[in-house]
Amino acid sequence: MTKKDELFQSLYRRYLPGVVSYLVKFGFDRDKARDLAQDTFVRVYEHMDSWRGEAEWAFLRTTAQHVALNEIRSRGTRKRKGAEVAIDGPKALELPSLDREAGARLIEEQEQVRQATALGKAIRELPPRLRGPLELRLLGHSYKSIAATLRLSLDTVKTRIHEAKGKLREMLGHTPEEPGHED
Amino acid sequence: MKTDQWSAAASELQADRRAELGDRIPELETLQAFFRDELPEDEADVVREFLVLYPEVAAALMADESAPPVPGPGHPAHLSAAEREAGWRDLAARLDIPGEPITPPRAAPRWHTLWAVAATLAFGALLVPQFLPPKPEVIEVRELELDLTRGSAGAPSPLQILGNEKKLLVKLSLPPAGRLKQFRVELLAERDGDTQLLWHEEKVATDGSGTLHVVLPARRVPPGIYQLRLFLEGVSSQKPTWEFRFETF
Repeated sequence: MTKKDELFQSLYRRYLPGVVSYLVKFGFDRDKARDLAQDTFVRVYEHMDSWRGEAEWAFLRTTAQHVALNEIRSRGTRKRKGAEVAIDGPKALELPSLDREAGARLIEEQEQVRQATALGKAIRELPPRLRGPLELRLLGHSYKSIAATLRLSLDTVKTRIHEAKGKLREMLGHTPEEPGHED
Repeated sequence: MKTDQWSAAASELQADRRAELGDRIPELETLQAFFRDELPEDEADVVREFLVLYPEVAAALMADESAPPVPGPGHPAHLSAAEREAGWRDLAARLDIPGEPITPPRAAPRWHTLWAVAATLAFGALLVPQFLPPKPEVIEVRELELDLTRGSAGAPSPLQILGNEKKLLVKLSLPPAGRLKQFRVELLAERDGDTQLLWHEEKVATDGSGTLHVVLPARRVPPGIYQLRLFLEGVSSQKPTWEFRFETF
């Protein structure tokens, strides 16, 4: 083994679990995080000649960040391509005959779908500065976490969510309940 | 409409908007500048739009910059020794470098080395004690803290054993019911679905904070899966009071 290979193996042995753990934070599942960790180490190996050997974890972390963003980007490309080729409309569902109770449940579910669609449409119509904080809030994020994510003050986040809810109330006739943490 | 339905609607909207965004993902340098508050407001708004759709990216970029601890079992990132070894072999093949094991077995010493060591020891044993005052034995000990209050009977916790360790001081934090008690401690190896008793110690007492100090010889725990079983002294039960599984690598 060359000196470079020995150092590389040492990095892999010491940091593989950390790299996988860090990639899981990006929202990848375990298997994907493992694959991306391998890609991270390939990239590390390729850049080792220009690396001066200090701040090992910082080097690995930045490389993992590049790999994670590239993966998100390539997924986005696949989604866009997928959207272009999906030209067939939805096929008609063959529904079994329903009893009265099942029929009532189906109507209720359809109503919920209708309401969710209306909410989605209304949120889309909000200006981006109001939409972002509200979307995160509906996904269960705390005010504090939204402020940190969007680099906004806590007061700005609260004001924008309040404003967004006011606009939704005008559009829908009611306001969404807020899931998630209380701050 | 219930709260979880609103959340479901928001998730669906997020998925749709992610698809619309496609590959227009900001560069890492742009995101880093955003978190350093170095972007003009219009560019920052573009990044905010992205982070609303990918809040986990924001969380990862804002995460503590120190290396994360080795994830334990049950954590999505936990890897067994076999998985790490397989990963290394795969990587070595991809990069065309020697795929020597990452946890190589210790090389057997050569005969002439053994003779030299034996001669040195004999010389030392005869002469050195005559000139030096007696000294306490120096051992390399590493402290490992294991928390039994969080439950431990499931997947084994990973413990990294370093090559220079002779003894491991394992500190077991016990649930309140186990405080100020004495235990018989057993170390068992799990092999092929069976267990084998490797070591035991009687009357190991907890300290005032409910922590049990167990000193294990490191040579007893080469890479593998083990159980530490604690039996309350004075209770004639075959079933351990507590059990802790761990995997060394």
